[in-house]
Amino acid sequence: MLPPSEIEAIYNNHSEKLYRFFYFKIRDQQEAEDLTSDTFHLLIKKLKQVEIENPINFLYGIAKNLFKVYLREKYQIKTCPFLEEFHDFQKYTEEYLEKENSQTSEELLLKYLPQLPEKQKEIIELRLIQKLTPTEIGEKINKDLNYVRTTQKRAVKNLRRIITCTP
Amino acid sequence: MYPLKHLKDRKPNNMFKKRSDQKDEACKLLENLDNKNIYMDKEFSKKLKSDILSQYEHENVFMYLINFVKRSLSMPSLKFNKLPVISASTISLILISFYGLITYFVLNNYHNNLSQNDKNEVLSKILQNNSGSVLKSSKNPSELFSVSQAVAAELSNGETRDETATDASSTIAPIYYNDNYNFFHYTSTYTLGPAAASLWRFGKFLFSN
Repeated sequence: MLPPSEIEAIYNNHSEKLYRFFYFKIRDQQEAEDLTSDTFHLLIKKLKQVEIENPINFLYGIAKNLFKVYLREKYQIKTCPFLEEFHDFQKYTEEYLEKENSQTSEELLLKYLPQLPEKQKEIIELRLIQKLTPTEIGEKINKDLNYVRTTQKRAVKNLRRIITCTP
Repeated sequence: MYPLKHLKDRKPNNMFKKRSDQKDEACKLLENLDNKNIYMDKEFSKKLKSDILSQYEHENVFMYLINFVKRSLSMPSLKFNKLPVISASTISLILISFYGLITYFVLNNYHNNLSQNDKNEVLSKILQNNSGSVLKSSKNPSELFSVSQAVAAELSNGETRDETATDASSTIAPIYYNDNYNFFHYTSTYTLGPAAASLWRFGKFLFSN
């Protein structure tokens, strides 16, 4: 069994990385905390049951599986091909964090917007890139306020799903 | 009637704010995308760290027993945490065996160090025509029988009861107790194991017939 000091070192070096990865993927603080906590608790449970050669790889393996379960439960996604592609999940996490830090919100939006349906894309572009109010958007596209609000709500929901499920 | 005074004095809250003033989902998402300085809450992180370290260092007794059994039997496929039936039966079996063993050793030690009065009481029980049942339940009937016969003969020859009793009871009492207060007696009387004792007796009954 590993000495407790090593467990502490693993926690100190990787908890923040994992938390930030989950947060940037899910965009929800509570859920990111839950996933981070579950990842470490599972690691401890397994460390007490079996001998693990490389606990850090194992930690990232758990994180990957928990993230898959989260996607399955929240968005009913049965397979996650983009997750399967990354055998070294630790490397993927670090690269993702670097990329996320270097991009502005506009750049990120422009990256994800093409995946939205046409109407939702138009509303989100006007609302978040051109920074128009819902009333102004309604006047511009000749639709009432309710249409704008409903489409925007659906678009945000879809956008969250796209952010979570895109590599 | 509503207390108008209170309504009048009440401060406006979010309910009366204009909808257009509130942040909608899109604004919150944009804020999320903008904010790069997101770190784990310090309090949460501290709590989680101490939680996992204590989980790693001190496991509770039940988990220790389960993990110990699991490790020693090397059954990685057996998921104790997901099978309440297995965990309940395993825990009860472990409890019965441990509790039975502990009471057996503690009480056995007690009966082996009987006081002279206790031994004399056993002897008088045997001599007062109870010897039949004692002999029947004994595993060493011939030994008990010969001792009790010798005691009876000595008493009838006018020997003093005290001297004879002291010698004879030292021989008889341990045999009596060891034969009648064995492991299954302790288990069935003092522990959670009436079920175990009945099973034992049922098994014995099945095999003897």
